[in-house]
Formats: sequence, C-alpha cells, structure tokens
Amino acid sequence: MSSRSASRKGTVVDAVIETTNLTKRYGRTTALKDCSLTVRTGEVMGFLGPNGAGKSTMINVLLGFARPTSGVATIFGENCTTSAARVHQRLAAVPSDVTLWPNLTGGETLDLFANLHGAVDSDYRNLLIERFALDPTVKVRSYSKGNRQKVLLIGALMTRADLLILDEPTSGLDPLMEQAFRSSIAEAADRGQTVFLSSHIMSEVEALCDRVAILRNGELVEVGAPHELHHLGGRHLDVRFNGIVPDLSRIPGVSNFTVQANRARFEVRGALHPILDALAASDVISLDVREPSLEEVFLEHYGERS
Amino acid sequence: MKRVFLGRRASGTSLIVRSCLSSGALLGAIVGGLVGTSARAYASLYPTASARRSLALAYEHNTAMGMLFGPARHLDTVAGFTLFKAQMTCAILAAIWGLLTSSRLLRGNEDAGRTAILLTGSTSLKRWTGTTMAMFTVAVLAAWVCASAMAIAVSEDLSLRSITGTTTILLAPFVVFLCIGAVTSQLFATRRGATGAAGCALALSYLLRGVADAGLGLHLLLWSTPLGWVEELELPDRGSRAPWLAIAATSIAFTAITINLAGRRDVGAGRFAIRTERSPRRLLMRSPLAFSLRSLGVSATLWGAILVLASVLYGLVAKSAGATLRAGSLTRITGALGASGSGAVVVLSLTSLLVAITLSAFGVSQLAALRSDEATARVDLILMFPVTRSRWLLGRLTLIAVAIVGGGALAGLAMWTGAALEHSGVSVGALVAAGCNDATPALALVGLVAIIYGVSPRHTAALGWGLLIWSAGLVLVAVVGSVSTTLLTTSVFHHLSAAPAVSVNVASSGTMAALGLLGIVLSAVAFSRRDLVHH
Repeated sequence: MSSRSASRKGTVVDAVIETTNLTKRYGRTTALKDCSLTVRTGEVMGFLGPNGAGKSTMINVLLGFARPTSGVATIFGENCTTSAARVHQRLAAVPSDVTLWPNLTGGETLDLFANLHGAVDSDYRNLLIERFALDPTVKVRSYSKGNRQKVLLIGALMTRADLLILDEPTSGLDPLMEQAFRSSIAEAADRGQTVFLSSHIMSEVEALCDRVAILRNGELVEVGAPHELHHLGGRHLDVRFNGIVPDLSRIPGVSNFTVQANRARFEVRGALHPILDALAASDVISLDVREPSLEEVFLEHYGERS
Repeated sequence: MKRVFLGRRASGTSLIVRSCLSSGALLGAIVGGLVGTSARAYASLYPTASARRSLALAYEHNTAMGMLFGPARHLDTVAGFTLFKAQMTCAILAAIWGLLTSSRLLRGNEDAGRTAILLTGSTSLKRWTGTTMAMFTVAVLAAWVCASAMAIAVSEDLSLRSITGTTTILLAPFVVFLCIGAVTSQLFATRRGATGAAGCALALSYLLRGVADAGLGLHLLLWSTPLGWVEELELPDRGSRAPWLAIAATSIAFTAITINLAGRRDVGAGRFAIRTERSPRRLLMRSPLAFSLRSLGVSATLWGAILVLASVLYGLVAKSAGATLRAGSLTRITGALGASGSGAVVVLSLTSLLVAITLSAFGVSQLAALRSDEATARVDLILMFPVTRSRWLLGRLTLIAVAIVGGGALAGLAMWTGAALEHSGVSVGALVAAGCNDATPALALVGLVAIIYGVSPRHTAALGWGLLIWSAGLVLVAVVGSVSTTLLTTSVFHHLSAAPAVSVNVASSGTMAALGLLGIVLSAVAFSRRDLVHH
C-alpha cells in the first residue's frame, strides 16, 4: 500500500478529493451548485470551465479558504474546512491571481515555501529551477509574469506532495515552459501523485489528464475520460465525390453541412449508419472521419447551452 | 442608442478627477466640521470679552503648547481661537491626505499597471503626469469648497471671510504635500517607497517646527519646513505674505520637478534604481511567525526610529519649555489630560499623548497592511501550507501588540535620555512606565480594528483610520477647547493617564490592554470562521 493511498488513520482511501453536494453562494450569486466530484488516488483530473464558471471557488473551498454554504468537501478523508491545516500537510497548490512578496528573491520565496511546507526534495528543486530556467537570485519585483508563475510552480512541485492542486498553472508561461510543465506533471503522475488541474488550455488537459470535469455556471455538467467526452461533440466528416455532391444535410444527426466543388464537410452526432447508408448510394472518392478534439467538444458544448 | 466613448486619455482624466473630487471633498468635510464645531464651542464657552481675554492670556506665550500645537495668536477672537485649535491637527491630517492622494494617483496607478494602459494612447508619461498634477487642483478646490460649506453649515459665529481664510490656511499643507508626494512618486519605483519618503519628510517637518517653537532661540528653523510656513500663516488681514509665497513657490517648484523627472524616466521605474539581484537572506523565514516578524520588521523599525528621535527631541526641550509654562495656563491643559504639576513633567505628559497617537497610527497601519496582504492573496500563499489560520493571525497580531508596547517603552527611554541630558530631574522608571502606559490606548484601538478585520476585512483601513482620527481629534480638541464628556469617552486617548505628571491608572490602562488582547483573540476566532476576501 503506497503512502499516498493511506489515510492518517491507516485505512485505504481511494478518493483523494471528494465533494458531496457542494454549494457556495456569495449573496444572491451561486458560485457552486450541488457539485459532487471524486478525484481518485493517482489520477490527473482536469477541471475545465469558462471564466466565472466557479473553478477558482471550488479550489478555494478545497484549500479551506472559503467555507461551503452547504455540502462537504474532503481531501484524504479530512474535512477541507475544519481540518485545513492537516489537509495541507499532504498537498501543494498553485493558486491563481496571487501576489508574491516583491522584495524577496525567487530563491528566498522558494526557501520560505519549503520551510512552511516542512520538507522538500532539494535535488528536485534544483532540477526544476534548471528545467524552468529560473534565476533565483532576482527579486520578485523584477520578474516577468511568467517567471513569477515559475516560482509558484516550482514551489508546489518541489514538495513532492501527495496531491497537487493547480489553478491555471501555465498562465503566462511560454510554449517551451509549457512543455517543461507537462513533463513535470507527467513525472508527478508517474510517481503516483494525484493532480487536480484547473485550466483553460484544452490541449494541455487532453494531453495530461486521465479524467476531465466540466463546470458551467457553478454546476458540474460532465465528468469523464477525455475520450469518453468526445461523444458530446460531433464527428467531423470530409467526403469527396465523383460528380455532384448529394444533399446530406437532412439526414438525422448531420449539422454544419458545407459544399465546396465536389467536396462536402459536415459533422455527425450519434450513430453513423444513416450517413454511411446514404454515402453507399453515392460515388465517393475519399472519406475522412475525425474524432472531435476536447477543445471542439468544449466549445460546442458551451455554444449549444449558452 | 448611440454611445460615445471617450479616448484613453479622457477616460483616464475623468477617473483621476473623480478620485480627486471624492478625496478632496472628504478631507474638506472633516476640516470644515472641525472649524465649525471649534467656533461654536468657543462662542458658547467664552461669551464675554473678559473671558476671551483671560483665555488669551493663559495660552499666549505658552511654549509647551506652541511646541505641540503651534503658536496661540489672537485667542480673544473666534477666528483666532478656531485657527489655533484646528491648525496643527488639520495640518498633519491634510499633509498625510495630500501625500497619500498624490502617491496613490501617480505611483499607485503606475504600480498597478493602469498608467501603462493610458500610455498606449496618444500621451507620454510626462504629459500624463502633468495632467494628473493639474487635476490635483480639483482635489484642492473640492476640499476648500466642502470645508467652507461645512463650516458655514455648522457655525454662525464666524464671518464668511474668516471661514474662507481659515479653511485656506488649514488646507495649505494639503497642497504642499500633494506636491511632495508627487516628487517622491518620481524618485521611488514603488508606492510604498514614495509614501514612506513623503511621510519621512512630514515627520522631519513636524520635528523641526517643534524644535523651532521650543523656546530655544531656534525660531528661524520654522522657515526650513513646510509645517513651519503653515504655522506662520495668518488670516488675510493679518501677518506677512512670506509664508504664502514660500508655499506657492515650493508647490510650483515641486510640480515642475515632478513633470521634469517624469519625462526622464521609464514607465514603472523610479529615479533611484532598485537592486534587482542579491544573495539570499534567509533570516526569519523558518516559520509563519518568524516571517510575520520579518514582514513587520522594516516598518516597525522606521516607525520606531521616528518615535525615538521625536521623543529624544521632546525630552531635550521639556525642561526649558516647562520653565516657561504659566501657572494659569496649566490648569486647563493638565485638567483636560487629568494631570497635575508643573514644569518638565507636564510637557512630557503632553508628549506622551502624541506618543500614544503615534503608536496607535502604527497599529492601524499594520492592520491595514494585513488587509492588503489578504486582498492581494499573499495570505493565501501562507495559508495554503500546514498553518492554522487562527494561530497565524494570533501570532501576527501579537507581534503588532508587542511592537506597540516595545515602542512605548523605547519612547519613554528616549524621552528620559533627552530629559536627562538637560538634567530635567524625571526618573527613568517614571518615563518608561509612561511610555508603556502610552501603549494601552493603542492596544485597545488595535483590538477594535482587529475585530473589524476579523469580521469585515474590506472595512479595516477606512474604519481603522477613521477611529484613530476620531479619537485623536476629540482629545486634541479637548486639550485646547471643550468637548462634551459623553463624546470624549468615545476616544481611547481620553482614558490615558497623563503620566508622568500623574501616576499610571492601572485599572484604566489594564482595562484598555485587556480589551486590546480580547479584540485580538476575537479577531482570530472570527478570521478562522470566514472566507478569505480578495480585492
């Protein structure tokens, strides 16, 4: 039994994060509504949602910074609100929209984080500093936004904590550093660390996450593996015909039907056999079927409902 | 409906104007209220010419009063008394208001990146700084109009000419320190640096004018400091024009320097370069409490240095100032503070009141900084680690309380050092006890503001400074005038024993200290039960 999967009392806890009917209201605004979510040991869970969907509120509740109006959130079986300090012994976080101390250098900030957490892997810290190309002797005041984000990322990753809660962690990072981040998360996942990753970047979530939860207007609308969510979007079909393109737009499930010369492009939802039957009756030169990306699923999903 | 959008510069200007209007109007309302109530109190307390002459005889040529509150002139008239009573309180308030307003609108906006947005339009930093400086006239006019209107509304005992003259004098430091804050905003790359430097200029200015008024033959020192010029101002039909000219010339010169400096620097940079790299300093980083101490250290040292310097100076002049006190004038001053006696001890008792106010200002500033740390989510960066919320806040507030008590003791020791050099005959024990006693109202105030922070963090700074201004204003007015007892009991400084002139009232001081500690504990409990509130 790995240390990660053991609770403080020694019993096996499969769910690292568990929220039950979690609701958070700010006055008349409901930021989270009846959110029930489970993040299992060792998995990388992506947390998607447009601005204002409630992602940061969820993370604030998980970190014990905000108290739920109703419902319960637990991490490693401990209540996030009443036992926040105990919960924090086993997690590390990258909060969004924070201000570092301008007069400390990057290195001093990392020292402070290390002292506050209690134990860090100093060799790994040095490796991360090198990987993210951070100069730790520079004062935070003089860092760019990306460099400040690197300090937060290294501060969380160097702890090797059982759970990493990351709120838009690649905000401000250049593409090279995004790659460094992805390899660091892959390492963490390989070590069996659990990762809760809130992000806007679909490709990042798709590449890194075992499962994805989608939040909209404070409600969890979908939870599943990225490939399981593909059914929410239509398959993309690109067909070339020998001669006139038949009108396929009236076939059930077909949408966004466009014709250019002898080529038709469209999306199909649900079963493919009606469209395949129709194509069988035509003179098809080539047929290309592509699964939607998570980004297309996301955009389509929100486009439909908003 | 057709919507018309302003350009970037016009939008920025309208935001600055709005900010200047509200800042100026609020200051004006406070100043006008003080002028109006002072005039009313004088007219009712001293209705006859003989009573007014007695008052004038009691206060004029009183060195101690002059050292603390400025010279007492024409106290046999409503206008003269009103000016004397309100002048130093309003001068310090207006100066702080001015430097905070200009550093916020110039360096604060630049720090937050708002200026950079405006500069993407068709303007330069130099032009934008000039525009902002021009908008300061809106703040000054708003303050003057509101102060005059408020004074007219509150009191019928002053002529329109006297009211406009008095409010012009009382708001003169606002103008000077708007310009001083503007210059320091060009010199320093952070708002904290700009405000700190302007604050130091104000502290130095206050000290110099105090020394100049101490009867040591250094009266000419008054002309070296903006608060000295303000002190020399008199109503238009009296006095010389020299201080007006000094204020006008300095303001114009500082405006020109500000605009010139803005044209010679990069956006976001100051004239003084900041070191971007350094070798690590790991002192006081081992625990949340140690880091709180590290965060507190710099400002506590700065406040402590000013307090010690001021206390030594006041200790040095206590004997000579006390020797000039007239027996008749003592009754009223010491009576207001609950003190008795004569000579240096009474001067040191009056100084103790200022020490208590300074310690309270330090406490409120630390709570405002605490709120700022929460608003910018720096608190999140501590509390995302295994740190218990209530314990962390308790630790930080306790450090503030310890710094206040330590500052009080240090101020007492510094006063004794100054007094001993002049052989004033006041014991070190009495002055250290007086210093510690000065810490008790500050503790009570910190406790109260801590509860506000625990319950409603967004109101910490506004209510904290408001309570301090209220408490200090009431007791300073009571020292030279009259305030109803009921109203006076709402001031924490009213419950301060006038040590060393009288023995420390253990019951009163103990109660204030206990209330402060209780407030700290309640704040920690409330803090652990609420959400962290950003922005």
